[in-house]
Amino acid sequence: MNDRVPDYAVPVRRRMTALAATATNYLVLTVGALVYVAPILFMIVASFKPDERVLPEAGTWQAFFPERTTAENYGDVFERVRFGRYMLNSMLVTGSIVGGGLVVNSLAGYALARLQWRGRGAVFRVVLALMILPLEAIAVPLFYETTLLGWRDTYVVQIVPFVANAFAIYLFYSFFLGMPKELEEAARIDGAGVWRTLVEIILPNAKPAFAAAAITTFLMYWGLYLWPLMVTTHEDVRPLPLAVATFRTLPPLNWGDIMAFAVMMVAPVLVVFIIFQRWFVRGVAASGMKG
Amino acid sequence: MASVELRNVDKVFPDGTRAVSGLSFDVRDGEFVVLVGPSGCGKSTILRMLAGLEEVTSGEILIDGRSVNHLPPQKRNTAMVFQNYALYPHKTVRQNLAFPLRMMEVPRDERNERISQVAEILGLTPWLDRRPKQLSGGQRQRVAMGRAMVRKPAVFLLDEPLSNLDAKLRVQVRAEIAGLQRRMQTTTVYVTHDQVEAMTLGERVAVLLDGQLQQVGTGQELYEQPANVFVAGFIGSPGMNIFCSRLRRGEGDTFMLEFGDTQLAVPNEVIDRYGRVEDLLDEPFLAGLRPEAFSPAEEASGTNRIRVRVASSEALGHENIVYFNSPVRMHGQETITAGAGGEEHAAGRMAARLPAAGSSPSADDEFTLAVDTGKLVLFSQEDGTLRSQK
Repeated sequence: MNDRVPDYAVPVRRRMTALAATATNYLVLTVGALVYVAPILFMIVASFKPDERVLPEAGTWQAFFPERTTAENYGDVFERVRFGRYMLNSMLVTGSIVGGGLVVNSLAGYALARLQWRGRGAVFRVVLALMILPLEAIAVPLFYETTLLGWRDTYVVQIVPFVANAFAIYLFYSFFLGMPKELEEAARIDGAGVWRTLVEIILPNAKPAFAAAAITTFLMYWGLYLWPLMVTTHEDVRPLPLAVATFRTLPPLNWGDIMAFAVMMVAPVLVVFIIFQRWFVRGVAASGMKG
Repeated sequence: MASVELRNVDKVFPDGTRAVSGLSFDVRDGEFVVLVGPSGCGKSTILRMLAGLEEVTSGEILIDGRSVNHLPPQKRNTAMVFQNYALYPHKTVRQNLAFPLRMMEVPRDERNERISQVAEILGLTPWLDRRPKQLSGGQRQRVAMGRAMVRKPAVFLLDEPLSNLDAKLRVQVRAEIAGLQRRMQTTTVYVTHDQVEAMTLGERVAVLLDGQLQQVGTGQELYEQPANVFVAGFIGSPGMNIFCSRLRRGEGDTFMLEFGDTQLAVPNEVIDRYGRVEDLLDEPFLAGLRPEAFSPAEEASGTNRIRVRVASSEALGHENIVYFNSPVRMHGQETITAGAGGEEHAAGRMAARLPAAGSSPSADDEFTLAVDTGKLVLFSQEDGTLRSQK
């Protein structure tokens, strides 16, 4: 038998190969997307299901396509915990970390990238080293220190240690480093001092870096659990992640309530991400980092 | 308006790189001076030192007779146009022009008036409310010029402002800059690596190499009487043909330039320019002839004729640049040594600028050229400087 493909068949075959490649790409991407989306979808659907159906249906198609829906779980959440208070605490703490962080970290990044001062290299190396240091490693000494300062059970203890952030400093540093130096030089020749140049020329052009820093620090601290658990005991100052624990430790154990709580806790994250998404992508690209 | 003076200025960067050494020259009030030289010769560093963006290691810079060594950029009353324009991307053209005036606390009415004037002069009025990214390269360049002009500075500093433009636009903007400067009479220091730009724009041109001033003078002076072989080769395109030669006494009262087997008669007035003839005779030196010293000879015989074989040629439409093998070693070109005694031979190429007549010569064509030695320039073989003249 002749194995040779007849000439007239080549274009068809090539087309088939291209089609197969596209189909495979889509298949892989779809599976990948489903793997990521499925838990979130499960959470949202489960939050609208009666509690007794959440676990039994978890392995079936009804996990995603419920037969009966109810908003009862959401009502339960507000009855069982002071959801509004927790949300306010979380927003206040995370908002302050993000807001304060943008000011402090952008200034630090600028100083490291652009200003000439003694010890700059050493400080930069310390910042790099701090990037790989996990909170767990410094939690105990930090706890000791803040207790000495009498900060326990306050907002301050949840905010101040995290305002300066090595990762955000590095993000700003690399962004400012990539900005044309001539912009600052032109501003200086035009008569602007260092502050004026920073406020009027540099910062308005650093929106992508601000967006990227805002999102990453928001995500980092919105779900923080260990530290608030260590330093707070009163629910007046405790953030949302600690409230989730209430549902597991205080009976009844109601998965529908937990899911409803989780949906409401995740919602602000999505809102923040959607708002800053465009800038975030640009910021990450500009800082030369991926993932 | 102001004069600018550099006195023995040195610049050494922290890593030890010496960018400028012992630089002294002055720019008169209202004068247009161009700094030209190859990449890395220190010309941009000089401009940045004038602007106050780089500190002077030693020496002194005076603007209008006042030392500005320790003045920050904003207090020097200079305006700079950068190679990449450095327009503020988030501001409109109007806001870009207004920025330096706001920093000077110019009242709003006067500010608006000055912006309108400058926009009018530069033809920017229709684009005042656009952002830089919405403008073409030429328009951006004008905005950069406008931002410098609107302040009415004492000194304009321009750092290769045309290098981001295409060739045609460059010629147009070059003429515009020259016109503007003539009109405003503002002292201007202009940096470029393009010798054509330097020659066409500068009232005087300063040629730099490795951070050292080689020569300052009008374009004509640099072209006809280059201070050394570097200037001779750098100014002009193609540069001057520089080759090893000797002067011999010919028949009677004549003198002959001898290089390889070739002998060319040199007019007495050329010899006279270089002082005592005894000092020149039989001594090796570097001779320089511009490509236009060559012309096609109608007859093969006669004085000052050389027979050449074309190595390559460039047809430019109105003229042809013809390169031919030189009978002697050319200065600044690779040397090929041949022959049992290791004598230098057939080394490098000479260029001739010939009128375009009919078809352009192709490689290996042979023809005879007449050589005009009336503008012969002689350089010392030791250090390549121009032989002292009377």
